Amino acid sequence: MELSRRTALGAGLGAFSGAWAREAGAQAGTTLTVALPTTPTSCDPINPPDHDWMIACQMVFENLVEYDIDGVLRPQLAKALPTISADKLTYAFELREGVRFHNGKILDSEDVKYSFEYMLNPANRAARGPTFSRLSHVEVDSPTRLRVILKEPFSPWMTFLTKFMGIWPKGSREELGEDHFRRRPTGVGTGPGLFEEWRPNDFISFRKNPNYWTPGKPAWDRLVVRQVPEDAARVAYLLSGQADIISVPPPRDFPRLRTRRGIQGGSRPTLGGWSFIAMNNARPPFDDLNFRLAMAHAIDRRTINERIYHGMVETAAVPAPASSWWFNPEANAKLDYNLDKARDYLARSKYPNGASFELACASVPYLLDSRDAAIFLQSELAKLNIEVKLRMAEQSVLSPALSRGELDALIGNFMSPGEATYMIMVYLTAGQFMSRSSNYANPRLEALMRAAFAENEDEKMKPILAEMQMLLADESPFLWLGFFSAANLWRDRVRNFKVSQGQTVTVRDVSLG
Amino acid sequence: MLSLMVRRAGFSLFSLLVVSLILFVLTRSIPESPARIVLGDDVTDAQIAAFDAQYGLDRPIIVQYLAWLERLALHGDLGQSFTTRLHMNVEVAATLPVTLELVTIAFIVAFLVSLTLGTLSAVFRDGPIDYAARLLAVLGVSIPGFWLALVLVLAFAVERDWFPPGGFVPLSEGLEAHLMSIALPVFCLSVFYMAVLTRMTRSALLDVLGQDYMRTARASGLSRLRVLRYALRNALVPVVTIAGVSFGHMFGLALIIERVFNIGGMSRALLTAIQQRDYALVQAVVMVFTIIFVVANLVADLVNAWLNPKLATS
Amino acid sequence: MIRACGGIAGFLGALIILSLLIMAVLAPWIAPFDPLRVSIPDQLLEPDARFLFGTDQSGRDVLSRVIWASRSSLSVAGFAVMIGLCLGVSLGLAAGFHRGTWFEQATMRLLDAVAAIPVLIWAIALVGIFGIREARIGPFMIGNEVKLMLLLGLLYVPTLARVTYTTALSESQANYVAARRLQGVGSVRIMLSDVLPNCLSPVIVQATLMLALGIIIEASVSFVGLGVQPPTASWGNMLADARNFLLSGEWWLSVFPGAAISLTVIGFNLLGDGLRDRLDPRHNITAVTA
Repeated sequence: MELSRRTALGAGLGAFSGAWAREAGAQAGTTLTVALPTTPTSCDPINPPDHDWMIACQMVFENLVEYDIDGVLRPQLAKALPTISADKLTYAFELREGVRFHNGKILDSEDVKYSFEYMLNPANRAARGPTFSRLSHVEVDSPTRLRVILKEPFSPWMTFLTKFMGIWPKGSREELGEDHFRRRPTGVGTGPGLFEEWRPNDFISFRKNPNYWTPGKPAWDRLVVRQVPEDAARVAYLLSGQADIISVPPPRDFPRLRTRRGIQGGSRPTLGGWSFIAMNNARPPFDDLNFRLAMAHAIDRRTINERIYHGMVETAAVPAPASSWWFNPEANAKLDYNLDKARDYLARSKYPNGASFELACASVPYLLDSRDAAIFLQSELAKLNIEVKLRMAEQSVLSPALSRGELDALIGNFMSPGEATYMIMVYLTAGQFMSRSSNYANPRLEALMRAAFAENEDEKMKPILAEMQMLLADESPFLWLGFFSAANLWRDRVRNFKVSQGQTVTVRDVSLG
Repeated sequence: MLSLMVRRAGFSLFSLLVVSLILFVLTRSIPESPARIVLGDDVTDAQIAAFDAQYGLDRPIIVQYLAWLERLALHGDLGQSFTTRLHMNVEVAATLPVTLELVTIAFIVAFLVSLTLGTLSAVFRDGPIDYAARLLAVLGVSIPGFWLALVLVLAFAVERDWFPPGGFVPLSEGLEAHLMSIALPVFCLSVFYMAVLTRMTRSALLDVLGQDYMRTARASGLSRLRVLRYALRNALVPVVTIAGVSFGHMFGLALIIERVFNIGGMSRALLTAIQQRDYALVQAVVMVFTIIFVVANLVADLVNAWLNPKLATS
Repeated sequence: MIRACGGIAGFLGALIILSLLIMAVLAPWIAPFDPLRVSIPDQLLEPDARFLFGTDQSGRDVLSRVIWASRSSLSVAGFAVMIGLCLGVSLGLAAGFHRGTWFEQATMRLLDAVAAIPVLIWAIALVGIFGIREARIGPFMIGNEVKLMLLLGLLYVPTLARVTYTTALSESQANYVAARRLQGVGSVRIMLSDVLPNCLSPVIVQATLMLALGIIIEASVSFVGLGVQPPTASWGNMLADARNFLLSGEWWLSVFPGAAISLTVIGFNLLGDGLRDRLDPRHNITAVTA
């Protein structure tokens, strides 16, 4: 049956049906409502919630530069992108003038220095602090000029700021305490939204910041970000006008919904959203290269991505999105779906007669439901005499187990800042918080990583990243299915909205028609 | 009468003590350390020890229980969530009214409808009304409320837009919108209990009407309605007992109904707490539900004592 | 036969339950497909001659899954009631028989106290607390179904003990028991061979109604994702999956598992009511809720 017919607004239901629709529209034109599937845990950018709820951090807090919805670095609180010293260790910024915090205080270099020092101090337990461990300190030259000093070259750090960092007033942490930043961050940001209310299990709301540094923005008066976990309910909210924008639409309904009258939709592959299978290389059967290669050739990525993920994953066998500038098609072509090759590698492995492993999968999906893909893999790999035992558990149980190296394998969809090295660094090099998920170590990969960090220009980085992909295709420490798409649906009255490659809904530039 | 009330209340308290001890021991017997859940994966043993000391988790379990009980009993303090650091009373105060409203309205609907239907069914025994009521009662206890919810959303919120498909509109945003938003959930919540109570009313009333003194009353020329009034008063006793139990149980079904309709009540606080492994919150929510359950039973007993003072002396 | 079940309705209930049991036992032979058989080309087909109940999002046959799911649903409900019966009946019997002792007082007070537990809420919360992962108890790996079974069984104990106790109390005062005592028959023997059989009627009625309840509770817990875990089918988790297809019109995904639950519960309820009319007419005012 066609969705459009089934849900077509019934004529003649008149007053009866109109009641709640009218109510929902009562504040139309002023309030923008976004519906997200998950539960917010914090508004503090240094202990960020999931990528959907980073909207709460990004409404309040801003950074020197922004890694924007297209994956382009742009100045935010800084006037321009920094000038970088020849040794690539010093980044000099000049701040915008007259930017005010929500408490009225003018932003200056001391605030920036204070914010970075707070985040870098291990005692303050910033969740992604280790990501920035190559940063040394900030030097203040004048109220509007400052330099960020690095310990060693680390070109991608600016792309991580938008998701994992923010600038708050000097002294505010001690004055207001950690809970203030987590639960009611009033007065401490420079962003377009003033924190208004957090109603647990319901919504977080913001008011327009009338003193925002870009005049005329935001173009709404109030933003309500609702928590609507059920897929069907989220769609119903959108169709009935109770929500203007929804995130993570049900993949299967997405193509039909986006062509409905009154509704618009968009999707784009994220630059850092791995759809993958993590394999613990220290545990059998993944301790054998030939077995991993057999797996890499045995997986029908296209069928999974088109039929099970309904086109919401852009296929790639290497950890680079096919639509990115750093994608290496040659490396990608090495890992084609070919059962003969798979059998060949399997015969050469330590496990010629098959093997058995436990595949973990989130029981409560976030971003994309992997359960059906896991079930498909189970039946596919059985053909090669590989027994897959499924283990379903909550993500909050699986993530710690993964990071402690306690899982054989995990199929999932993990989001990152959307830059070429972050995920590889975190999962496949030593000393990172997810290193034990793979237990993979390769001096060549580490060397390539350092070489990439020392380059600030795409063109110079490209051959290094290409070689990295080649290496990972040959070694297959993990299996990549592709990069999942960020997708949104929104009502016609929402103007200037664009899907973000970083997954987080971005509404600063949105207006309501 | 007074001594009965005291005795019943005393037993309810004892009951709560036993149950809360069981709950406390169970929530503390989980294999994962709360410190690891809250602080993340890279915590050192020293950090775990510090965390345990901060929250008193290093003390013997019975000492922890008594401390928890003391705070709960003397200050009504449900404790603090490990993961959100939020005070549980705040969490409960924010979500309980929603659930309580749904359950109360559903309960009143179920009680009134079943009383009427059960009485009609008993009075017109073996007539068409009786058969219809009995059929509905069997269907009502057999159709899972959450399935009914799915079907009703499909029929009345997706195919036609008579009702909103989900969400809770607070009363502050208009009475009509508020009522529309809770109509389907309340209905789905009440059906099962409506069926149970209808059966109960019917059989209790038939039981009483069959007693000798009722026949005598009728024979002595009392009007049908007066007889029925007397009969109902006596028949209500078992109905009220079950109604008390039902009120407490309704919160369980509300847990699932709220999920289908995406209502941010207490039940969702519980499911979110389970997902985030926030055991302190799970414990608080279950404790609140259990207190409500025990109090509902106590109230039912007292209502019965009032309805039938003979019970009070026995 | 019809009389044994307490009338036409009870007989109908017995028939439904019997067919379901046969279906569950013979699932491997009756089900047209393997319930776990994934077939991507057959995704989400409407019911037709080949797939009578249609297929789901992985191309699995819904009919076969509904048939196989009867195993998990019936076994959770069945074993839970069995656990409840074993513990509840022995406690109730012992307490009723040892009238006036501290044992009777302590047991019944404690059981009555524990009866203040709302079953569904505790089932959900406790399964949630223990997590849905398989747990290791000694040499045994226990899956989530078993966990739910044990929990539910324990939660059933107070009610079943109370029912047994009430009857055992009056039975143990009966003249024939005193007579048997005078004959020098041991207490345990009197309890098992004389009192127990006379207590069984109300217990059986109660147990049947609890089976109905168990089906609903299993489905509810699985529906919120804490019960039977995929890929194993249960009616509750099939309904949970079906929720994602509510808007797009795949009605067969939610209708058939829901109908299966309702049919089973109707069966147990009809049988329970019938048995009550037949076995226990004195106590025909009972109700089981959750």
